[in-house]
Amino acid sequence: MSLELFIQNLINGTLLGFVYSLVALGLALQFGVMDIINFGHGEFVMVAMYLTFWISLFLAIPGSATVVLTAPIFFVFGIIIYKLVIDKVIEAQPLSQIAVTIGLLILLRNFALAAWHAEPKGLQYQVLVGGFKVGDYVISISRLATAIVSLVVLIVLHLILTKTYFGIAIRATSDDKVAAALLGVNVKKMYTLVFGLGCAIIAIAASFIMTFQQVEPMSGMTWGLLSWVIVAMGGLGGLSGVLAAGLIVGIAQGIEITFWDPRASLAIVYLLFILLLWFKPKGLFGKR
Amino acid sequence: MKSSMKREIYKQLRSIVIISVGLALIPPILQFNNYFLLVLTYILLYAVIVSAWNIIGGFGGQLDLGAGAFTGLGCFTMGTLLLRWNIPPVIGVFAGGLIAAAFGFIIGYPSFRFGLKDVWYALATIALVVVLKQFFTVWEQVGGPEERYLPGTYGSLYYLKLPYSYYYYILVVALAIVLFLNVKVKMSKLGYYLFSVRENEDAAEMLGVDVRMTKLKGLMIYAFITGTIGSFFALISGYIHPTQFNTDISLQIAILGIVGGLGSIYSPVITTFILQSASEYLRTVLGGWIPGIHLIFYGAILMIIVLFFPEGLSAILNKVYAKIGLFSLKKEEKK
Amino acid sequence: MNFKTGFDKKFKILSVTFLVSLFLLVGCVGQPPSPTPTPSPTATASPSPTVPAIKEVKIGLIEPLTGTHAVFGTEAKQAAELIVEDINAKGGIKSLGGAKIKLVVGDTKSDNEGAKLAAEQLISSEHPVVILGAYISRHTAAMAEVTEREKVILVGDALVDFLTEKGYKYFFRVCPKSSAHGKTAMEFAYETAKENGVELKNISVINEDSVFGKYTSEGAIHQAYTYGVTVLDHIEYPYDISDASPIVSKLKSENPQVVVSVPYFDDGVLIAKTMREMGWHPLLVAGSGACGYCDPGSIEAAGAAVEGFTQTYSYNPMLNTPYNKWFVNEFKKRYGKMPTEAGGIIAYSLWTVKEALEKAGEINPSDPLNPDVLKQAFLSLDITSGPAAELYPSQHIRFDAHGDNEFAEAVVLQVQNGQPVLVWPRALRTTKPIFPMPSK
Repeated sequence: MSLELFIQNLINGTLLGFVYSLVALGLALQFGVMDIINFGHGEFVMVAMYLTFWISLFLAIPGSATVVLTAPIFFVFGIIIYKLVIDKVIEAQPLSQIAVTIGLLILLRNFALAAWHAEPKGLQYQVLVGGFKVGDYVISISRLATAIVSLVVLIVLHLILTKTYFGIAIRATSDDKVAAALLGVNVKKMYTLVFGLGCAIIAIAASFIMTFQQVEPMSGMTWGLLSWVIVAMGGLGGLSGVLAAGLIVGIAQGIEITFWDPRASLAIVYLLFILLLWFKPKGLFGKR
Repeated sequence: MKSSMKREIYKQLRSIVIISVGLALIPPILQFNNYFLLVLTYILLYAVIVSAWNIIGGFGGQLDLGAGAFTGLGCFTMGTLLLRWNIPPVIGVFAGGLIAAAFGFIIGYPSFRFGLKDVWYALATIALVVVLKQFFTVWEQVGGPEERYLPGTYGSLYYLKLPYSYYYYILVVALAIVLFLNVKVKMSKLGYYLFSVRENEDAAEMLGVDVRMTKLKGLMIYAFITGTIGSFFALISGYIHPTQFNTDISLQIAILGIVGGLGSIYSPVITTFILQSASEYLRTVLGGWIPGIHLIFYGAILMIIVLFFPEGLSAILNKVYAKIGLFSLKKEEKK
Repeated sequence: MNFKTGFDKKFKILSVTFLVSLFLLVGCVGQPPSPTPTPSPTATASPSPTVPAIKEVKIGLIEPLTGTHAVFGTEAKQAAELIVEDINAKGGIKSLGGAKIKLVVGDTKSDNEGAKLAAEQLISSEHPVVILGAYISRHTAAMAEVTEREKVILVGDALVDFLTEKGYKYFFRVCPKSSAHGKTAMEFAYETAKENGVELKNISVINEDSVFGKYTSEGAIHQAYTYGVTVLDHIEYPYDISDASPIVSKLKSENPQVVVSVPYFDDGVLIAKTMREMGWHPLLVAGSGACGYCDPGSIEAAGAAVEGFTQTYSYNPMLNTPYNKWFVNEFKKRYGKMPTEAGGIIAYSLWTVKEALEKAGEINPSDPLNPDVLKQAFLSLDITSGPAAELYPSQHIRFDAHGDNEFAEAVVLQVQNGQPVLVWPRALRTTKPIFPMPSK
């Protein structure tokens, strides 16, 4: 096992980690503020990936540029889903929330199958292709772009949450919704907006995933569970927790594949996750 | 007190016997049609596991998504014993249950020790399914990518390679046993402890309930049954393969349990029969038309039930029970 | 409270027992396996009822129409509908008085339970005489148990070797088995390198971790040993892998001359794209087994990244025969894409079934749909002309005693200028393979 390979896979893992964090960010926001357990998260990602594909195909623009359209569309999509489904179970016990979102998962996955068929679809118009060399190591441009976007989204979200009235209201709702309501925050409106915002972030993530992946109706599987693992690891200790957890997962996968069998890469991540839940039940960085 | 309890148990026993006899009469009515028998056998498989899940999920309120792991362990234990040492499945299925219970202990003890609850417990258990699946894929002496076909000629009792009707009747008996176990647990101290944990864990702890041990007991009973019954997946399909560690089974079982109504004994089972038959019916009617459309309906039905009947189908079913005077649920539902 | 302590004690004993039994199991499985009796399924059910005057012959098609493998099943169904329509338009089965074929379709839901259910359902409600399916080997094996019991002929379109080695009595397979795919890929890589003055010394093998990937890659590795080529590494990965860069990095550090790859579908595109991103590729990526690099879907999804990649196929859409040209054109017109592996296999399998039915009518006109008569008809087939032959790569179909085609052959396609072209076997090709692959 050469050192170069190890370092190369460390780089790959790090870049992948940023992607993971970006995907998990929307979920972290929704779960953190609203305590809604959305098992259909991965399916949202899948639908957003399809949206990216179709918009890119019809307007003949690169996938990464579709963000300007997909993010608003998904914001509205999120609000609709919230009004139709989530709002009715927001006060319910976790089991009902899980049951209803699993129903949503089955529905969305098979809707994608019925509407868009099973063939994987990949983008044709791309600007972010190839990689560049740093010494002996290769850095993929699409992955790097995703990493940068992921950081930018994190910073913007952090600024929104700390500097704006909206953000402060969100955090107040997250901390104590009764007190926030007493102080004049419209909790229901906050929830609606947060769910929409979370979905918009999912759309941003999906647009950039599409630069190096393709989408099929089953794509949601991979992203859904991984996102939950990252949110759990990050322990809702804020946005940096999500970023750190994403990086840990990405790097752990990279290292595992270097030294052992690619077939067990998820097993290692999940095993790590279970152990972490046991020994640091509050996640790596936070209070739960 | 004692005698009233006995009377209650006797009453429940009567209901269980009625259900079992009813189920036993279905195959002759359908003239042992293989297709219907196989559908019913799969539905029964799910019903038994859902009923077992009810102990930890319904009574105890722990959202366990480990069913896929336990069924897989059951399949692999039974299959490996048979393939390596020619130990008949009659012993193998129970060994599978024991191994599954052991894994229940391994995952449950630290989880409850460190206070995992709600979604975190759910995630830990579903992660276990994926971990085991990948582990058995890599572990080529036992698992590996290749299907390992179970030996035996068709019709052999030693290898339990039997017509579907045999499996069906075995599972009817299993369902009766598990339902009775549900009744027993519900009437016992363990049942009351589980209910108190579901309602308010901290309060239960304060009142002297050993929360950890209560949950662990519930989990291990459930894991044992799921492991034992889960090995029928391998017996029916005739091979073992890592895909038998299936996250879909986990989700299915949990959702049927939730939709059925937490804490009710018969409703999850009846719900399983209704929903799984509906699913299979939708598949045969719509499946060939547009791929996936039957599952869109299925997903929608699930969502509608949860959204509009938050108590689960048991709320509706209870009215039906009251009408037909079965199951004597007056006492039991209010917990 | 004595309840609690009493339980604690029992509980401890119990849990220790569990753990001990667990470790015993773990410890013991390392030992060599004892010989196990081989399964030999015997049928018990009564033969299916026969119809005196045959107007219609029902043929079942059971494919994964939903779930993970739906992409293959959907195409198979499209091809089957097209071919059945054509057979009927051409006058049906002549030896049975122009009986028409009726296609009845079942869905495996991409899982084993579903495959078995679909087989039971189709057989009990429709009584088809022949069933085609189910693309995935283990689903096919699950179905075979049902069809063997009910004595229905099963024509498999799954490639994994063992299906014909299990002693099924009513199982036939027209397409080449998976190890033949691996072998062909290796042969092609070696011979092409030689043609271009390169001596092939080492390869790396990567495959997705299903039984199909395993058998196919073993076929390639075995062939590599015969040539004396060193296999530097053999990497297996799950087909739904989300990131291929660690695997490509590993390949890059080993730097083999040729990579023999058995992709599933998505992963092929992912690997191709990642190689392009990493700026590294071997002299040739010799894809093996049916799909992932050269089918229209992959080329569309991967774009220039798969330029120069090759792949073995059980069906050759480029085959220059009248019927094949008609089929490809008609398929394109109707469904807007080229037929690939899944559709092609079904097309020639269906025509083979048709030929067998004709034969059965000749052998035993009074009871042609009896499974044993049909079996005899299948075994006596020797097709060298007609649509079935024109669709088949080697243009020759004859079954051996196991139910495999004796003249099974895989072909190699290469992506050249965004189009798949035939480059192997030598006798059939019109274009020379590009070796080494163009750098991107």
